[in-house]
Amino acid sequence: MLHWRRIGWVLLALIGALALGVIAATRGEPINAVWLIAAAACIFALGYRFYSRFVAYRLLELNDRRATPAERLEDGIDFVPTNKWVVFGHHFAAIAGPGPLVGPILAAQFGYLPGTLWIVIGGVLGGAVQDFVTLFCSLRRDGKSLGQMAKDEISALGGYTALFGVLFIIVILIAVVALVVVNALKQSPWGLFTIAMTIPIAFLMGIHLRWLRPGKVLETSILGFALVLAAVVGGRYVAESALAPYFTYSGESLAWMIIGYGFAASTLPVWMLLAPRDYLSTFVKLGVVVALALGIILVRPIMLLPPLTRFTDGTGPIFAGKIFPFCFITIACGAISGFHSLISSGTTPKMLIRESHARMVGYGGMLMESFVAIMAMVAASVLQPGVYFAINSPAGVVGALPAQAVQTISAWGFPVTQRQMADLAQKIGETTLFNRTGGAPSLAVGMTQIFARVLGGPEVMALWYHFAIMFEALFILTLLDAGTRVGRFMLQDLLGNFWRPLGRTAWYPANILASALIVAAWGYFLYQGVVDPLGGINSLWPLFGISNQLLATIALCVATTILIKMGKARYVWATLTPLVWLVSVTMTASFQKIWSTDPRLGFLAHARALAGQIATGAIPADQIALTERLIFNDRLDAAVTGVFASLVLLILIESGRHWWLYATERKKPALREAPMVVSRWVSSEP
Amino acid sequence: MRKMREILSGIWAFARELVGDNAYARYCDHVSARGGSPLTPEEFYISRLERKYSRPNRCC
Repeated sequence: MLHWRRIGWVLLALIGALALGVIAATRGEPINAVWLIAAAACIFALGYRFYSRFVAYRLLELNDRRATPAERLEDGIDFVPTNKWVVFGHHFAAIAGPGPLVGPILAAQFGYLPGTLWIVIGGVLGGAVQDFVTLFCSLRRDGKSLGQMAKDEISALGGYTALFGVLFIIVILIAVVALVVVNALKQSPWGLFTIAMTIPIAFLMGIHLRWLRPGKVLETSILGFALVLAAVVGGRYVAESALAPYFTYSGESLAWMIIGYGFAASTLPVWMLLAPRDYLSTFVKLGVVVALALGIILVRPIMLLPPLTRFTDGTGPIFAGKIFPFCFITIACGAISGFHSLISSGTTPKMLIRESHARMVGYGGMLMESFVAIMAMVAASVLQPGVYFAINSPAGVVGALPAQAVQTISAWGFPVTQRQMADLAQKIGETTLFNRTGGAPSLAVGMTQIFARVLGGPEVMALWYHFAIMFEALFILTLLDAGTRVGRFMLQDLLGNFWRPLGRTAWYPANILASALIVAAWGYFLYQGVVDPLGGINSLWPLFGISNQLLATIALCVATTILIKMGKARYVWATLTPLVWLVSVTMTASFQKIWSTDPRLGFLAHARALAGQIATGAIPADQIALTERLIFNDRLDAAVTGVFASLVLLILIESGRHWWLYATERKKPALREAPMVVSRWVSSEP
Repeated sequence: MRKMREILSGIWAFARELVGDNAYARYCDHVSARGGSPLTPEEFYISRLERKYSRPNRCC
């Protein structure tokens, strides 16, 4: 039996090597996506089998004799011993948001190879280790949060850095994902109608769940899904009817609507909108991920995007900057995402029955997300490169008119015609696909090409496209609702230190004030992204990537500190390697975004360029106010980037100081683990 | 046919567990084992949601 297993793993390694060989040896001709999927799947399987085992038993010494918080503190509400597959499902649904889908789509401007390599290597050696070790640390500390662990294990300063880091990332995250939705829904009555309908559908579900069938989530989600499908189908008739103008808006109008919606959603009772929409979006998200995997396997599409494009030199139209560091900032979720550490130190550790389950849930859950990111990369790569760039390039780079855009993009060596774009837009039921920066529309077009080949053919492309847009917008808006609410709680926690009533979450005026402040913060960044002639993604997505990696830096610092305290200093390379890499990436990206002399890359250089244009009279009088606002935004972005970089340095210096004290025995390491209690399930299966 | 039915009912049970449909029953078991009086289904549902959405529970 053991021999057969070994032969199986050797075979898997050979298949992976063959797939990598085909990818590496193919030059100048498109390859089948199956090779990419096979290479990634084999590496993930080998990484899980061997590396996670090393981390689990050499580094962390998981001990199933030790009772987990779910067993010791069982309360039937938060601490609930749960089947490991159910915990895996919960954890995966929580960590997998729009990031692993949008990031790879944007990074595809370098070609499919850099992003794919980063997803595979970063996932196995970085992201999965971070998630797993953080989960373990929280598991040994009664399910404490990352901020609390940073405070207990490093210092109070570490804890406050984590708190501010989380608050900042929530603001930037919501702004950037809202921008993705705005760019997907502008001038799209079909898409907007479908998404607008999810609000009354969520209300209906909320009423059903609260009063008619309390807590019956599954049947309510199925009912809601059926209604959403009806909305997708009905959207076509709305778009072709006299109602279309009521659902056709510019990016700016949509930004205001989303800001208003975010405020309302965060102040309404959670059962009314947020929770039912979350159930619905999780239901759709898991279903679509599975469907996309099946679709790719069945269709075996050819990847038309080259492995490397000319934009590896940093002149890309979607965002400026070279592969290093910007590929690693653009793809955070999918390779390594600091935000995951909040989930790994949230609900998940309170549900695990055994310590050994943390390996499958923490490490395996992240690899599953990495696989989703690979599928997104495939979806981007099946598009004609010219079409991909026409959809994703902002008007400020390629020109606002279709004729200008196709001319510029074709001149880059990615031929595309107006006719081709018009035909595609007509097939998917949109008026135009130009300047849809943000990743969502190109992902939806890629998914449509795969799904339509499995079911329905070209006649149903419009339905599949709007289904895909609904899928993306639905869980992005859920993230917006949930993020605003969590941000409100965190802000009230902070404000309560200044005036106690502001910290009371049951006091409505305090809720309104905190919600307004959080919404104003992300709403400001969203609006500046919408009016930015360079598309907004160019400035906001790197900010999001940097803030996310800031959180990963905190998580890896906490993990490394705990490992040193556990007497595992000889193995800390497992967390130090991704930490060193992330710090290099984050600091380089921050430095370039602030100080680069290239106006497309550096915030301050861009501000100077605009100020120079005003001074020389190159800006028309009616555009001066807007230009001055853009200059202010650039300076604000530079300041925010500087704050993120300072927080990274702060946590690093604070952690390094403690590591040095431990190494030189000037300070005795004090591990703050929960007491060891022998599990009652040691001798009997639960 | 029976095998298929078993598989489907297993999937349904797993899905119910995954979405938390049986959370209230489990909570009642827990509370009654300790001699307490449980919340009503509606109270339990609302209190569960309030706790769930007061901390980061959805990632990017």
